[in-house]
Amino acid sequence: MATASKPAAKVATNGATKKAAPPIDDEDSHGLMGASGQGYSWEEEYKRSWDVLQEDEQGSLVGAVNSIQMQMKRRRLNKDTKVVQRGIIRHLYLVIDLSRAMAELDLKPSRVECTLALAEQFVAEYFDQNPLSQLGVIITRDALAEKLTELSGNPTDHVDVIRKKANREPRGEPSLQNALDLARTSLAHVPAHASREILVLYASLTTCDPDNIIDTIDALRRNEIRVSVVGLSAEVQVCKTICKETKGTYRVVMNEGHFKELLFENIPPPPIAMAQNMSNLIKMGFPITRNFDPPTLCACHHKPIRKGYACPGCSSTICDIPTDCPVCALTLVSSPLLARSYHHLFPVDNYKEVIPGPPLPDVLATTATPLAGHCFACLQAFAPKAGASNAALVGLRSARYECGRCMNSFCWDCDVYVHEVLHSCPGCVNR
Amino acid sequence: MKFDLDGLPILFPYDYIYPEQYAYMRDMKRALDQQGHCLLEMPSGTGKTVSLLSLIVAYQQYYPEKRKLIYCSRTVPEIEKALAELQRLMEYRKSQGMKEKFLGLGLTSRRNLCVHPEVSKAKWGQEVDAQCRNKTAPWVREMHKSDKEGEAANAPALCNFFEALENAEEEASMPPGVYTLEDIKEWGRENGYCPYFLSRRMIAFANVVIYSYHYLLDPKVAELVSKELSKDCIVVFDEAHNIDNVCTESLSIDITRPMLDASARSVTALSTRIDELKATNSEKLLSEYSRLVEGLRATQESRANEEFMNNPILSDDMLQEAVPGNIRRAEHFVAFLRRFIEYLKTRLRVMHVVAESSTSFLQHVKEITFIDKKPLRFCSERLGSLIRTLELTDLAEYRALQTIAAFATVVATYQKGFILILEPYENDMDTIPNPVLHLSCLDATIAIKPVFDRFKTVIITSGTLSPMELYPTLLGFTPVVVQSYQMTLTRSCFLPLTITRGSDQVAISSKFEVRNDLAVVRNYGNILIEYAKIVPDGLVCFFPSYLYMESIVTAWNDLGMLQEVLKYKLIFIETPDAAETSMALENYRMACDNGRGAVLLSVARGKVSEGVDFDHNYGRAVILFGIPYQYTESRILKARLEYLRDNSKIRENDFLTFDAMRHGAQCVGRVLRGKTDYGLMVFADKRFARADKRSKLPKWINAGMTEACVNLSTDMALAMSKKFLRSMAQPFEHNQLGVSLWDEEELRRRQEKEARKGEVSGHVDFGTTAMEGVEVAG
Amino acid sequence: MSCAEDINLLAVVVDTNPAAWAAAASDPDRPLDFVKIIEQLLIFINAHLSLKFDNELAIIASHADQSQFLYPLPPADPLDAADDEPSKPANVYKQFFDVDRAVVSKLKELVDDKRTKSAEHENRSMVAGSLALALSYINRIKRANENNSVQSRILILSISPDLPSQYIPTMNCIFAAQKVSTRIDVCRFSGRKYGGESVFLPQASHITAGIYLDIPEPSNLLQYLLYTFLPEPSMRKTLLLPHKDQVDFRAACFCHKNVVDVGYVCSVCLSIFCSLSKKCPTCQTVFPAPK
Repeated sequence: MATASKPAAKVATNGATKKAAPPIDDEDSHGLMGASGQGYSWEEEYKRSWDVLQEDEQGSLVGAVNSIQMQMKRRRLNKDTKVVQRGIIRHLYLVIDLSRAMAELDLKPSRVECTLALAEQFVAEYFDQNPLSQLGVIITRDALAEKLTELSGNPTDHVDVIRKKANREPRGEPSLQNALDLARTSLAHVPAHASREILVLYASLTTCDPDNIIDTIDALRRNEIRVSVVGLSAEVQVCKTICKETKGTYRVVMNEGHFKELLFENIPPPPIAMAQNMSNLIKMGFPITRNFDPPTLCACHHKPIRKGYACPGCSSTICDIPTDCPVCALTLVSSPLLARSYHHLFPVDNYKEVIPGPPLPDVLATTATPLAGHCFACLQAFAPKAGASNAALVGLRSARYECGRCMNSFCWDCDVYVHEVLHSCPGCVNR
Repeated sequence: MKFDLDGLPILFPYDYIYPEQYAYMRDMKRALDQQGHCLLEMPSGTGKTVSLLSLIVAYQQYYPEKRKLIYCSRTVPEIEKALAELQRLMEYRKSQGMKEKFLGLGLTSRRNLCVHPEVSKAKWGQEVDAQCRNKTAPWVREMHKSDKEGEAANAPALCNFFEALENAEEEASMPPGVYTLEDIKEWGRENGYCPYFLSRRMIAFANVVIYSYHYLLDPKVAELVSKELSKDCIVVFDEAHNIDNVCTESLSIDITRPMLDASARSVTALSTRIDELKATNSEKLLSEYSRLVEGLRATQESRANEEFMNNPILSDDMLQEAVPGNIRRAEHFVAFLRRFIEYLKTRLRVMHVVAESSTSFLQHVKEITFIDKKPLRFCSERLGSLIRTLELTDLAEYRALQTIAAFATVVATYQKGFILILEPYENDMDTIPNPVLHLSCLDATIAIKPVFDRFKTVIITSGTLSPMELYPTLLGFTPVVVQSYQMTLTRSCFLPLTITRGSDQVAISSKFEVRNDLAVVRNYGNILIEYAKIVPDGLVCFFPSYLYMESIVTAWNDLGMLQEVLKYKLIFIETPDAAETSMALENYRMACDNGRGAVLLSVARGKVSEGVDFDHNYGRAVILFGIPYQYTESRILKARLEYLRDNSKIRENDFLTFDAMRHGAQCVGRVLRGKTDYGLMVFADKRFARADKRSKLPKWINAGMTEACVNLSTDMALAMSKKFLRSMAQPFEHNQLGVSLWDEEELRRRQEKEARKGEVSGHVDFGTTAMEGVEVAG
Repeated sequence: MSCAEDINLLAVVVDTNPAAWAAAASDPDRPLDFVKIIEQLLIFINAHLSLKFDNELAIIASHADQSQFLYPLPPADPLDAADDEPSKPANVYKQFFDVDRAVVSKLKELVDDKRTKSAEHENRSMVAGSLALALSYINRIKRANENNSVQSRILILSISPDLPSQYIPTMNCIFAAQKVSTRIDVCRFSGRKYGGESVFLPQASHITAGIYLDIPEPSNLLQYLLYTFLPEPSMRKTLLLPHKDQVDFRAACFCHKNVVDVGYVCSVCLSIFCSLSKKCPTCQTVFPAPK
């Protein structure tokens, strides 16, 4: 997941030292302004966009790429790993702006292509991380809003409808109010224990509304719907207001890589305030698989199937889970699905970077535990700290990260892997 | 936070202070200590008002002289804002344990302060004034007091609030505190006192007085209001970049034919009234005559409440003599006025332009009508005394006559610095004559020099005072401190760009010769369309003049460009009519708030550019189409330029550029109001790239202009603007401790460092760019 | 087709739970000899290595209280630099020799390790930990070989019962494996005194599209290994392989450990209960009264 994306920010020169660190971290603004004060990145990009990457003495770009990766990693490191209550069962409407502004070409290949491709990836990842949740897709163009798919737990429906050509043409003006109203009415009958969210991908700087959008915002707030917006061009005041009122987030993308990052930020469940009366015991069914010979019609799509499930509540035939049983409305899941969401509730603590200090005097050397020479998880050797000449190259290799609980050292790759994919620390599990 | 500035303890109502605020306060204190004047340019949006107020209040309360602060501002909203800041400051001081008896007031026109149920409902300010005077004129009150039966019934009713105030004892004053305009109206209503007169009365006792420039600069009102202010008051002119224009305008008078007709009618009415009075009560006229013979001037008390017939010239220039004989008698005076008005009417019949100095005008007057200079000088005073004697009650009718009398007085008093211009047609192209006689003051020092001479410390401050060398010459004073500050920022929150050519590489300009060229018009239109596409919410455009705006907007309409813009944003336009403009502004703000987005087309010298703020989403970008030069063919302007060249050795070109650039900078500065705000500033004219124009921009704007931002074509500028808007939309940390924000610790550390440096080099300079470790934009 | 150039990476997780193997050795019906099992495993491994030149291998021992890499050896391991290494017999393929030697000596070391003596009597095995190590190693190899695609699979030789406390890490590993298309094959030994039904492992192979095989006749282990587990994943669709019919995905309730058909799930902590209650025992959230 941590692939090196197209470098956007001016690369901080390797020797750049930060000033006395302010108490609050602000990685983004440092990333934009060259720490050596060489000007602002938008100017640089205009002048010579290829000059952003600078070669080191050997003429290799590896160092530059690595330091960009380090920047990304630092950003991820500072994510919150507190255990906090989150809305695990989510109902999210994805609103995509398909107005004329989407036909701009500043995101390659065109805004609409980039957005829809990322939307497909988003859908897949969303269901992977939130298996109990549901998603619906709404588009807005020509000052109207159109619901493409209803709320459902099946990713293929949504991906199919996004791929249909008719739904990919940008036209006319968007209508933010219509889209939000449509989503809101569709979210009205969602049970209280599930979170109600709307995620808007908005490229236009204007909206063509029939009424006063303030009323819509009030209604959204009353219905406890959380709206987040990812803007593609610039910051629009009305989006800012909506997100502030409904406690969502409003971000504006800088480029394609940043777009993906911001979009995927909405995949982990958002923290929910305890005050909301959302916790409840939800009745769920755990069906067993059954083979049907001769094939029977499934109750949800009326298609013949051989392998399926039997709803424990009403014994009707279901072809796929998770789903809501169309007959008795019982939520049907399997335990692995529930297990997929556990890592949100029990996240792995961040590893601390270990910088080998000066050599200890002999007296202490014998009693101190020596640092392992290789990564605990993948047996990668830690290269010793090299001189300045190939510092960039070995910079990553010699970085070592330690788990606070099991005190094992891990290399950078494993750190990323553990925190993003595995969600379990190999050292702690082995106790 | 509390900190110490060279021994003076200062309480600052916020926890953090910007480095430039600190430098501002320090320099101002230097000026106060040295009891000299100063000229300070501080970028907009950096808390200028609060720093100023906290320093001066601290200074005032700490030293025993308790020097009064007179804070002059331009418009009523600004006065209200300043009063609100002052209130906050005083609350903070109180919360920090300072026990001070402090009175802070604001004064504006009757329009804003009247609480009388009928009078305050009048539509125009002048009507309110007139009705108020009707109710408070001394003879009216006399009438009611003496309670003569028939007369009391005919006279207008008294104002209860005023009466209550008059009858209150001397000691009955307002409780200490800071009163905003609303507060004082409230207080007045509750206690039954007239807020306007109460404020005027309490000025003498207040610690801080906030009012408009006119109360200090305009001779007509300054006498009444600001006469008793002592020498060691601290005077502050805020937003003073246009102060020279205010000075010249307060002494300039225009006369039109309808005015002459009205005054002729008034004169007839006067003479009728005189005849009446002679028949019934000639005693009054006689007593007036004798008074004038003895040269007794009316006592201060009876004149205290009348601004109607006040001298339009400065008190020092009034002759300390008795009124000349040929106008002592009322009938003679009326005849005198009639002759003068007839003369003016004949002058206005001329069909060609005439420009002459006051001296030659007076000579001509003497030749034709045998009217001397001396009686003309006493015109206003004499008219005032006559009206009092006649006890006229419908004073609004005599307004035109008052103007004529003021004109006479001014033209006769000042030999230098004025010019009379007679223009038979309003514009040169008109065929229907509409003659106007302009008496223009050319020299700003006439009005303001007395202020500089009288008060020991005068502080002139604004966001756009560049170039600063011109102001001392223009206003006739020598400042001891001249400083210009920059904004310290962790991220540059504005991007100035100069577009000199369109995408087709044709140079764009609003120069008179090329402004109607199709390529130029099209390029300007393109700039508007493209910016409307990429800028979110509000976009403000300024044109050099109404004429130009109309012509180019019509051209754009013909080319279909306005339709194109409408696809992305709504379009609003400023007109000379104030009500229309305020409605346009309201709708503009609504469009910016609810996502529709809007463009506002306005004029660089209009009301919008002077007073309206476009902060945050209301102004994300400002485009200056062309350089806002004044109408160079205007004769008044030409006269002024000539005068400046002859007297102050300022070259015409320099002055014109200076004037244009300060208006341009003022327009452009509207868009930034605070450090979290951000905006684009686009200068669209090829002449902006020249060094002489760029150097006249304020330092803080120049600091943001790097080499890459000058001399761009439209597409280059758009690419840069897009990136800027995106990066500004990223989340921003507000606390940049140690860099552009200091808390008490940091401040103390820096003071120590400076003190140490000062000991070593003997010279401490907390100047603008020489701030250690502070990251300066650009 | 890129299959010919694919690198096949096989990670073997060997369950070395001493207590279970000891019980298995003394089982009356189907006794297992640990040494014989290892020998057969080594032959299987050699077969895997000989199939293609660049096939990769990793072997992890899942002990009672730790997991350790048997092969490849960690860098700078004293074993590598040992001067007195026995010289390689002339007609043995070097790689086979290395693997055999490493496995045997490391196992010996593991068994002799004084630190784990205390845990020897506990009948458990750190399968989840070994899976995590295997997946990290797979991740490293995949990163190092971005030009060629790496097909990876994990084979678990399992004899120990499931550890309930390891449910969440096991499931996390299973999902991680599924994400990188790594199949988990399970080779299960069970007899009267050892083994028994596992719940996690069949789910693991089902979710990752692997093979779950309950070995009927342990002495013929090599045959099963070679026929069932040796073919690489791309070949599997052409073969007829054993599969588990019914994988029970039902959950056990947290309060009684009964398997439930219909349960009540707390929306905060996702724990499953068989009946309604006012408060969630796990996260102490109070639920609103049912209407």
